[in-house]
Formats: sequence, C-alpha cells, structure tokens
Amino acid sequence: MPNDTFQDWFCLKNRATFTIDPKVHPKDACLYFGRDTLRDRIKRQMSRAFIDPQVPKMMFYGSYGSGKTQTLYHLGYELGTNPPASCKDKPYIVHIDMEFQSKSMAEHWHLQLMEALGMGTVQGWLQTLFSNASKFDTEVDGFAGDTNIAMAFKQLRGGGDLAFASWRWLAGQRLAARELQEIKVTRNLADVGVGDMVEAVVAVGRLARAVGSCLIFFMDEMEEIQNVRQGDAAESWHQYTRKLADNSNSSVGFILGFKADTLDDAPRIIVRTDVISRIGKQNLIELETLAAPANVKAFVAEMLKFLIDHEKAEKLIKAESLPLKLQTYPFSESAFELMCDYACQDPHKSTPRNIIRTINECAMTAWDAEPKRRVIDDAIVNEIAPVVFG
Amino acid sequence: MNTCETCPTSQHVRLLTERMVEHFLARLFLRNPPLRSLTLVSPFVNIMQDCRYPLADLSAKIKAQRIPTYFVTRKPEETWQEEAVAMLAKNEWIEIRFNESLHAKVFVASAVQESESFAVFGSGNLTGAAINSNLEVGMLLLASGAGRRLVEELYYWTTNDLRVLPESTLYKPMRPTRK
Repeated sequence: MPNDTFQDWFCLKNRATFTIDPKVHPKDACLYFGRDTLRDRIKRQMSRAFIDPQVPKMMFYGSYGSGKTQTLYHLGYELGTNPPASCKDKPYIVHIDMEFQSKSMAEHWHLQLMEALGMGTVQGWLQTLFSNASKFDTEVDGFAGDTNIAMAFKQLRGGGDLAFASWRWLAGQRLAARELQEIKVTRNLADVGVGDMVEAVVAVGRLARAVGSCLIFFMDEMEEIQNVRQGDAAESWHQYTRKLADNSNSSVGFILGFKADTLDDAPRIIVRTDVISRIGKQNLIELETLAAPANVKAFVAEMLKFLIDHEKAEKLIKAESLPLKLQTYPFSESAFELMCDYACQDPHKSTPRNIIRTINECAMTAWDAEPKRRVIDDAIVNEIAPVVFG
Repeated sequence: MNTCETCPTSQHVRLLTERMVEHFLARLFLRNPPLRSLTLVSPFVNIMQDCRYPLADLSAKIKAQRIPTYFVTRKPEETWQEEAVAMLAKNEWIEIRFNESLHAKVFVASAVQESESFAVFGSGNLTGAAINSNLEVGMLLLASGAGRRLVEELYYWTTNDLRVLPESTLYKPMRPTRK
C-alpha cells in the first residue's frame, strides 16, 4: 500500500503519530495513562478542596518529562467535563506558562494572571451580573471588599476608555494621576503592597462566583521562579504566594506545576513552610516516575489501547498473519516486554515523555524500514530504547 | 545579524532582515542552552565554509553535546550539497531525511528548560549564500509568552508531522551510542 500514511500504517485513531501533547492538540488533555492511583488521589483531594477552602490549592512537582503539563491539562479537562459534586460552580480554568526574570516583582505575576484571564472575560462576568442582579452596585460593593476595586469593576463594565484604564488598574499597571481620577480610584493598585493585588484577584474570583463560575489558575513552569534573584523581588513573590494560599482566599484556586527531582530542588520561594502549612502538605504532590514494571506496562498498554483503532488493527493482524497480539500492537509481545524492561532500568528516566518518545521513534524506525514493517520487534526496540533510556 | 531597527520589537518574536540563519546559529553557539533536540529543515545545505559557524562546527557541537538532531532536506543534486550531507551523515546523532517537496526553512532548538527554546523560520537555507550574500528575511521566535506556543507547534510539526510524511524518506537514521 504505497499511499498509506503513518497513521494508516499503524492503525492510529484520529492522530498522525504516537506523540501526545495537550498544548499542541488540546484534545489530548483527556488522556492520562497508567496513573489511576495518583489521579484518584488528586481527584479526592480536589473534591475535598471544593468544600474547604472551597477552591483547590495544590502544587505538583517532578522531574523533566514526569507529566506535570499533562497532569495539569488533564485535571483541567476533568474539571471541565466531570467536576466533583462538591464543586457547586462551573470551573473556569486558566492555563499559564509562567515567566520570571531576575528582577521580576509580584506585579509581573499578577499581570500574567490577569492578562491570561483576559479583560473580556471579566467584563463578560460583570455584564452577566448586571443583567441578573437587581442592585448591581450593591452586589459589586459587597464582593469587591475595597471601594477602589469596586469602582474599577463598575468602570470596567461600562466599556470604552475608562473600562480599559480600569482593567489596567486591576492588572496592577501604574496609571497617571489623571487616569486614576478618571476612573475614580484614589491610588494605584499595589501602592500599599502585594496584598492589594491579591485582594484584586480574589475579588475577581468572588465576581466569578457571583455568576456561577469558579476561577482556577493552572500555572506551569513555576521552577523558573528561581530566576528571581533580587531579594525584594523574591520576597514579593513569596508574599503573593502566601496570601493566595491563605484561608481568607476561598475564591481563587491555583494549581502550580514545577520541575524538581526532589523537594530539596523545589523553588524555596513557593515551598516555604508558611505557604505549605496553608495549602496543606497533602496538597504538595510529587509526580513520581513510573519506575515499577507494572506501572510502565499499564502506561504503555493503556496508551496503545487508546491510540490504536482496534477493529482495523485486528483485521490487519488476521489479514497479514502478523506475529503479535492485539493488546501489544504494533509491538510484538517480546518487544513490548523488552521496551518495558528498558524503561524500568533507571527510575529517573522512566518518565511518560521518554516512554512516549520511545514508542514513537520505534514506530518511525519500522515505518522507515525498506520495505516498511508492520511490527515493532526486539531489534527495533534494542536500537531505540537504549538511546532514550540509556 | 541585526534585527530590523525600524520595526516594532516584541519580547517573543523578532523580525530578522539580515543573516537570519546565522542569527539562529549564533544563539545556539553563544547562549548554548542544554538541548533536548535540534531540528534543521532546509531544502539546501552546504558546508558554510566562510561563515562564522561552519557546518563542521555545528556537527561537532551536536556530537560533543549528544544532541538528537533531525535534518530534513532535499536529495542533493550538486556536489556542494552532497559534500554537506556526507559530512552530517557521519554524525551518529543526526537523522537525515530527503523530501523533494520541501520548500520550508525552519530551525528549532528545543531546550531542556522550555523557556530557553527558540526557533527561526523564513527564507534562508543552511548555506553560506543565505548568510553572506542573499537577501533573506525570517522570524525569530523565543519560547516565552505567546512565542512559546509557536515554538512548541513548530517543534511538533518538524519532529512529528514532517518526519512521517511518506515523501520524507529516511536517508540516514540516528545511530547514537549509548550514554
């Protein structure tokens, strides 16, 4: 079949290759292989979190390729499609890959959160509230907590230049005296300190609640916070984290992901005792490598089960009398075992990323062979796996 | 190797109006971030003898740092192309594919720390002429802010979609030795 594509050749279901990447293909967020225990634990804790403190506050860490990003996207998918019963409002998930520079202050974090959320989203919530509430101003005053924040919300709903200035104010950008006067606030946000900005984002969370949404930020790449070296800057980040983690915030959830091989490698700014005691130690979760043979086998088996069109593969196996079982297709049984063995040799390298890469590269090697090969055998695994896991 | 001074600059995307390929190579050599992989997509290639970063240096860097590298090009028709491909083919860390439909020029450096990744795409081939004499234009994408998604998508396209196209025939697989 000379016109076969890679997808056809390996009976892949709705995808061009074996690679999984929720950032490039958002639909991949539904996938989470071989880690049922971990997923169930996270879901249980998330379910409890919606009761107290009413929003999830969690941190995930693990080595490169341990699946932090996939975990964050998958949780976002789960919350969107199958939220826990304890979550009374509709989760509104905002994904952010955080960026930090050596002198970045907490203002940069606040700005990134607000920009990722988007002015249009907050305006939409305000408009919904305006349409539904009999006394809009009173409602806004009630959840804003601060007269300046309340005023910014009211101006933001109004639209036009004032709305834009109000958004900039809420995002923590400095406004000129004239602009402050125009939007009727007495000072810039953060003039008093980091708490001002946290108060603003928490007020946005309360606004979301008022219209039936639960705002949760999923922040990845938090290890880059280690780029913040300047003392005052680092302290401002710590304060922002601590205040978000505080029990007084029951409106804005956050799930942080950072690269750390062990907790000792974790960014000190965000794992200080005062932060961890607020979110609870049980919410600091290590994404371990798969390591154990049973875990690796479960991961690969579940992945192949999902990616392969079994009906098509079964017909192919029969038609071409391929020497393998449907469960391990396109690997021969021994190649499947062999690959799992390789993946378990070094626990630090038995990461989902490495396993997915090995599967894909093995398939590409079979595809590149002359003539193309249907079956990934021991020889192919012996060629590819040592390079990835060696 | 300057960026366009009259154009607005962005933190994540920069227009390159001079020596776009050299800009990529300079960033690769001078910043030297630990790389997960390198992708070079260029219809034509030569040894870039009179350039600041000749192909031999690039190949030596790939070998020394054990960077899995995917190179997609057209099947060489001229001696200068054959010479360059032969040089890269000696490197066990480089996979070479030929694609006769290839017109795209894309260079992606995927770093271990994702924010260090970057890519350049545009009109320039991996040749001395593209650096020294041709009028080329390109874009540099940095994996920060909105640029990160673009770099990720280019990386995905070059390492997955492009490599499995039936037209992308394997000339030489990667044959690295075990670390």
